[in-house]
Amino acid sequence: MSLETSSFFESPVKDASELPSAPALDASNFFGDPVEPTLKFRDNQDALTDATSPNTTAATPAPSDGWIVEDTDEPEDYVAPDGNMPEEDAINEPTEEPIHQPPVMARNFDGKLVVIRKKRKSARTVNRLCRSLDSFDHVQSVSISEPKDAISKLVTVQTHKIMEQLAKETAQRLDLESEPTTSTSKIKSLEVEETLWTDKYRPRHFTDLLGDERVHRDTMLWVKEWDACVFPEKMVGRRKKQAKEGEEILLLSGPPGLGKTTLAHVVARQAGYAVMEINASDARSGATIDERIRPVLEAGTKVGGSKPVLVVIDEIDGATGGGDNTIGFVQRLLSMTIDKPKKTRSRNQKDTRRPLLRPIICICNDLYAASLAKLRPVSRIVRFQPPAPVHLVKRLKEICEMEDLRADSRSLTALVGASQGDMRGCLNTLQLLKAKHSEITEPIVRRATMGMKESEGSFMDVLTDIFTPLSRSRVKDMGLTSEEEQKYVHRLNRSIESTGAVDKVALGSVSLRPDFKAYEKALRWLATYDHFTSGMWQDREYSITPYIGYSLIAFHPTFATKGGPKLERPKADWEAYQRQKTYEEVYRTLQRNVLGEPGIGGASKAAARYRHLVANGTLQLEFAPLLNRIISPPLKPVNKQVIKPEERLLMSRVVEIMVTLDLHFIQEKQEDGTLVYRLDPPIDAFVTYDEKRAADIAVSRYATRHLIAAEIDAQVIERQAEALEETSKSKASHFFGKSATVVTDDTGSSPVKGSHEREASSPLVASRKRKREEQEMDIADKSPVDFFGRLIAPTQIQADGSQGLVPTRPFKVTYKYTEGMSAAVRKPVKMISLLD
Amino acid sequence: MIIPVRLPSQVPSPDHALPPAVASIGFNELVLLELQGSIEIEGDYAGETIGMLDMSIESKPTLRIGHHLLEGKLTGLPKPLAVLKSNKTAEPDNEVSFDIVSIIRKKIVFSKRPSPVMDNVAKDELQEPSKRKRAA
Repeated sequence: MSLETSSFFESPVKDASELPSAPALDASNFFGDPVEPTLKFRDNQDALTDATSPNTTAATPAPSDGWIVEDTDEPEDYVAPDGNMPEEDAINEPTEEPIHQPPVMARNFDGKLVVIRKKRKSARTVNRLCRSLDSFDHVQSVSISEPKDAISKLVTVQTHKIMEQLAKETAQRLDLESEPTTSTSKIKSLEVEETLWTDKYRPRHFTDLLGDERVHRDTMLWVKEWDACVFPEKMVGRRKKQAKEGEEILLLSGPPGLGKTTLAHVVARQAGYAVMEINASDARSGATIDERIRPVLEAGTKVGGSKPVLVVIDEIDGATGGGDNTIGFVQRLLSMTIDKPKKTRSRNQKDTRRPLLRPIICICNDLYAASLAKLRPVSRIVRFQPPAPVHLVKRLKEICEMEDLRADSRSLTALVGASQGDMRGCLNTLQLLKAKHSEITEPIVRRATMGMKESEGSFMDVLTDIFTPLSRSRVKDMGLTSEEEQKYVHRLNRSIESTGAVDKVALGSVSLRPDFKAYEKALRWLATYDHFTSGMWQDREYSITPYIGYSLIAFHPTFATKGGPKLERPKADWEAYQRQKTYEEVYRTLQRNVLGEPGIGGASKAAARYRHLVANGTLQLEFAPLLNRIISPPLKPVNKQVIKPEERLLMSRVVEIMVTLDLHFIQEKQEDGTLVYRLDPPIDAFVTYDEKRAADIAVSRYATRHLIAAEIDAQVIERQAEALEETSKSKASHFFGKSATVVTDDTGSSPVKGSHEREASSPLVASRKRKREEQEMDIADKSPVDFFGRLIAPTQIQADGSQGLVPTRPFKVTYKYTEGMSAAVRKPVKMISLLD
Repeated sequence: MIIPVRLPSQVPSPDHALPPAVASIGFNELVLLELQGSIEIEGDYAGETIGMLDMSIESKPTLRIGHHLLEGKLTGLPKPLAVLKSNKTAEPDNEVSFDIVSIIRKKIVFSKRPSPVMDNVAKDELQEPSKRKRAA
């Protein structure tokens, strides 16, 4: 039998014949219960008996959750609402039940009627049902006794709780057994470990601080600068309650363990502040500022405290969290410190937003972390340097004495050297060693500090390592034997890999190579490096990665020299990039000039014709180099008057080309006072390598350039005049009275910068100028102009004879509006000016 | 020195009420024009017209100067101005006396930014020999 849909469950009782008969009943489909397959169908007789004894049906409760399949012929079979229902209910309700909860009927393949009733899903009920069906004879007794038995058999406490209980008991027992033997030692060790030595011997006062005193004073000074704002009552004779202006944040930077946090705390306490610390364990997102820091800063004190608060944000360079906004924290911090004072100032301090009233000290390890880029310019920066080892050793010795730890200076010096001045690291190591040993010796220290400070290292350090042999002290710090000292491959590879910037190291290796003695060898290694990296990036062969570092190690035996020049940050790649940008710009300018966009005269017409010259590649490889040769003709710097005819031809050709391409020689004064002519745009940069020019290009001398420059200027002016004459002719009749010559004169008097002197000095230009003026006069026959470009009417004036040079212009009235208030009326005016 | 200032005759005759320069532009009442700006004149201005004042709309007098159309408003002067005419004669000993020719009580203020007008329109109208300034 298969019941396909739930519609069966809802359907009212139907005639048995209407129900489909199915060959098999997959009972578990209905119950979802593994017990179901044991369900058996009773024969008709059983069913009849079952019907006649209401007890049985009462004993097979089928609450409304699920369905119970029952084999019966009688549709009036019913379901008792609850399994614990007394029999009376079942007896009273046999006729009513089918109406409320109609059982679904079906037929099995024998034609027997199957009644499916709702049931509760519990396995217990089903179990019981099965049993009751199996042993029908005992139905009576089972139906009454079963529920109680089942419940009593079940464990009242859940299994996992029992297990827990047992485990606890066992543990207690074991504890009790072991206590008498181990308790004393345990307590002792606990006492020792209760406080870290770093906390125990942490400086409490300003004078206790170890290290560079100037750093401490700087910090204190900065904190004291806040006094005017924080402790206004103490300030005498000063403006009260003023917000600090500028450098509102102090940025302490330095390697870990030097006492930056300690310094911040000590200084704050000394200056009378309560410290509020936000460190790496806190969530440092933008929201933190709003939720925690801002309220405290605005309140000025901590909750329940009377001292003003000083916020210490530890390890701010790690404050990139917050997921979505990586620089949210720093950004928010800045907005709190910078934006606010400005706003209040503009709004005249009548605003809920207030300037930053309490100092903030930020502590970072890497001052140049990207997340701090915006913080750096607005904060006072205090850098920590590792204190002198002598001081550290002295302090460590004192501590060792206090802790009953025997240690000689030698071992302590080794410890300080290995930790590179990290006081916290030293103390932690000592405490660790104290737990095991009662005496500190150098080998112990060596073993304990193995691997200490290995993880850090910038690529500059690595470069230094590669290009300089290990110094004596460094060898001692690292505790290497002379044999180990010779083995550099692993050591260097470790440090190269630790930087995570192999490419930077490689770049540095290329640019920092101090000499070329072993050039070939180095070149081969670099080629290997190139090969590896290109293989890795192009073919995604990342398995090469571990080997890349080794190709750079070869520089160490090749180039490492003692007392070599101090290594500087490699900047060759940046310079190359800059130069590339500059040259690209020069090419672009040249391209524009050739195409004639801003060009003069006919150049713009040539745009299409010369386009092939400036195509990518052609411009750089063919056009520009040849152009450089063309504009450097073998001219002798002689006076223009005595120039040879063929040379004059050459020069005029050069000038023409240069004018067309908008190339100019610009006179400039060098630092030493000598004058030079610079080519603009500087396309000669492409034939100059390391201040040397290509051999086949004649050196352009000053005098030659001077000659050409003068010619170019003359040519340019001439062309401009021509172009303007063309336009002015067409415009001549425009704008009543405005004459064309005025326009010509305007532009004529604004030639190329600095060309005046040259014009005066070169007779050729002068003659050309004169010629141009003559030409102008020819054109301007109808309306001659005077020196200032005003129209002259000589005939009229002569006829009049009254006034010499009065310009006769048509009457024209213009009204010139004056902006602003009408103050003109208040001017005293003589009556005569009105009446006359 | 006392300079007598005589009031004009109660019924001014149109003939001699104003000196010729003023009489040509007004009848018997003068109106002050106040411009926020300046009038620039080029060339020979003898007998030329500066602009055209249009008072056809009483509340919105307009003045057209060249390519500019100015819109003004007629207001009363806080302090009236008197236009005096000197009675200086050729006689040597004669004391100087003034006649009040007219009293200016109103002015037209052109304080707004002028709006540009079409060139040819302005020209055509400027050519008309009509009254440019007339009494309000």
